Amino acid sequence: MLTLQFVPYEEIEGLTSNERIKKLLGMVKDERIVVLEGRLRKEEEAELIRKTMEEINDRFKGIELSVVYPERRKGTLGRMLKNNITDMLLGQRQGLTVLGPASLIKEIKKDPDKIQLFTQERKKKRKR
Amino acid sequence: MLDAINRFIQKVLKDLFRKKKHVKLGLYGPPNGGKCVTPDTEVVLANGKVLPIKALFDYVNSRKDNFDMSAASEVIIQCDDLGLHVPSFDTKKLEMVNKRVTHLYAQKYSGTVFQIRTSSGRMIKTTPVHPLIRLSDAGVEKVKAADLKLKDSVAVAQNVKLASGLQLNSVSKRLIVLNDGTVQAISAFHKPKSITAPSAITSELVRFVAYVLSESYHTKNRIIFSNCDENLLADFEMVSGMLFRLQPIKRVNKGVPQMELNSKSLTDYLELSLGLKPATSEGKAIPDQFLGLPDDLIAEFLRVYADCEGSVAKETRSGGASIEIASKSKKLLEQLQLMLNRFGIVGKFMPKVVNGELYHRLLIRGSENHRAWMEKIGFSIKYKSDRLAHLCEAGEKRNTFSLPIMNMLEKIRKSSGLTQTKFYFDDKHVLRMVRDNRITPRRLKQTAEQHQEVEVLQRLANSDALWDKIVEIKEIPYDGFVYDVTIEDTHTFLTSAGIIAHNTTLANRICQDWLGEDMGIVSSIPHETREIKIKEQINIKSGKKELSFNLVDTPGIATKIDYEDFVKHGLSVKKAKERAKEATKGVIDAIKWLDDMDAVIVVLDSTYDPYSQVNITIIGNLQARNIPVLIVANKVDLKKSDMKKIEAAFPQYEVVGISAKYGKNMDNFYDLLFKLVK
Repeated sequence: MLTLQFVPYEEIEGLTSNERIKKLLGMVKDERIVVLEGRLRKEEEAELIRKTMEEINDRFKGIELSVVYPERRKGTLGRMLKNNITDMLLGQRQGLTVLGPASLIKEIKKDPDKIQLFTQERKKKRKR
Repeated sequence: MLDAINRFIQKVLKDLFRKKKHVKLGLYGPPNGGKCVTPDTEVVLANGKVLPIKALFDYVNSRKDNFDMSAASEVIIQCDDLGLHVPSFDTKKLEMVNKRVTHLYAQKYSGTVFQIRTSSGRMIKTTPVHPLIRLSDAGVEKVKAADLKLKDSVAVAQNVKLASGLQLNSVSKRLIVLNDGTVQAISAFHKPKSITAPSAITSELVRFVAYVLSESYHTKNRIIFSNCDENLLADFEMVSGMLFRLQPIKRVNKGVPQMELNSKSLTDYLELSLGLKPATSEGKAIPDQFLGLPDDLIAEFLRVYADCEGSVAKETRSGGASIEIASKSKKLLEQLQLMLNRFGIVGKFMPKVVNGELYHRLLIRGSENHRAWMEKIGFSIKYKSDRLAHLCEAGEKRNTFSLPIMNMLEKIRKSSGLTQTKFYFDDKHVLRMVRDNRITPRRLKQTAEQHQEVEVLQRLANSDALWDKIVEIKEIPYDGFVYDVTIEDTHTFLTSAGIIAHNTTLANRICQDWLGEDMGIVSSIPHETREIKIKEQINIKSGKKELSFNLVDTPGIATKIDYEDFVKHGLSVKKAKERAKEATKGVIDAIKWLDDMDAVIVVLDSTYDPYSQVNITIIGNLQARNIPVLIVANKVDLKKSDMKKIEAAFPQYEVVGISAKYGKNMDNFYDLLFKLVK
């Protein structure tokens, strides 16, 4: 059975970076596919991958991760400043992040403003 | 909130005052590796000079850019205007030709080098990706050292023609030239006896040098030649008088007659005009210029040298019928082999230990070699000449340089509908030849003569290369500089031992550095680069363009690693788990480096779906960090290649399509690269 879990931005807004990563990774390790409103900070994204690498073992094979967000064309300096400041103050609420366990998701295709998610067919059920 | 504003200000400040001293360029793609040989590899130049590749590089560096090698990790120097030429093997026509050196490379390398030894005692040390030329049923091809196997046959040169002038170096600056034209050594204490000084290399001088190198004791003020043969002693006395107006002192030491020339003027003259220095037996070397002499003078040198130092086997059966030349100097034997090459004679190098001391031997075996020696060189000592005549009568035996192409020949024979007797001249040994998949060069020649219409037979039979079986491959850890050259058109060069090595090309070099790929061969195992490799201060200079930067070769950043993927590629479960662990560490390291990068190059295969090759999240992450990215789509020469798909996948980035295999569009890649890091 496939479990999708929606995480509204409010749910992670008040958390520190470490807490956010821990929360998301915990859900993924619980074999849930997470749809997160908005996106993580760039440092958090990298940290999420780093943490994932640390936790990889025979059973946990890693994650699949994809982000869609509105394309931001470089504009005037004023516009860039405005965008940056909005991001800094409000966090990145725009866009959508999809992540899940690599053992469940075969691949996520981003094309670039739609997400396609292909799941893995299970060969046999694992005994817990 | 304050924290967010503070971060924003920090970032703006960092962007404004970013130091641009050394550009750090991230390479996101497969591993890189230098296609190079070790610094001690001796390269043969067309003028007869044989020198270590490092010395050649240092010479060119001093003449051209003068890069500070202590700070550099990779240097490429263009030198096509220096007029350096080397004998090179044309792998299509299978001929030796003289070609120009266009580039030289030095690169810091830490890893395994392959030491490859052949059955004729030749050796080369190369990095794993450096190719040698191999002959198999599939034809002549270049194969990376790491992919070579025992019993593979690699090319060694047979007919090398070096060319140098007959003129000797002027000695007038370092010796005193007297009024009568004779020369005298400079001495503070006494007046050394003057000698006449030949100004060109003549038959007499060639013989004299052969006497000095073979059986003489040579110090800085005397030369003592010892030999039991009266004719050789008489000839030594005659040439000493003719060339230098010197009369040797005759002695007998422990029953052996000696001729002593006691002249500082002579030893100085030999050193200055020819580079023939006093040396112990280990240090003896033939003057460079001698290697490029005309055929008749080379033959004369070889004859006199072998008269003194060569031995000829009495029996054709026992212990291998051979002409043997032994010396403590490996270099001297390699030079003799290069000279013998002129006449198509190729021997075998073997070590020999006498009373605990290491000697080297050059063994000339095989009746074909013996006949060539008889016809073109000969002996002046009668018993040696008689023995050689006896050796020449011997029938053909298994040969060191037999060619592993019987399967190919059998295919040709069957398609022509001929019987073995008709095709191979007669059916003697054919069963064994088929079983071993080997044919001797002589048999191949006979077969080729019968079938003039089969072009591949003609080319192989008349090739300037012999094919030497690999008998040992050793992997040795190495840490230091490795070197390479580019030779125009033919892209091969010759080592002093006669092994033909393939060279690197500028496009290839860039492909290796940027794409980790060598002419389309790429490892299919995922996560091959598992460690960060940093090369500091890489200098590339080509034409007017010049670029200096640091290169950080990182593993591709993945978000999942499954050890079972490695098992699918043939690794054992244990090894696969180890590799998966290394791969996770590699990714962690790569993430640490993200912040430090000034620009990133992402390499893709344009024949595959871009989304399955690159972690889009990482590209997005780089974008969020404002790190410039260049997407390189390789293999655009293939029909399957789909550039539009790649461009559509990365609308916000510059995408350049190249063919690493054919060096296509490399200029454009170069331009974009320069633009990216500026």
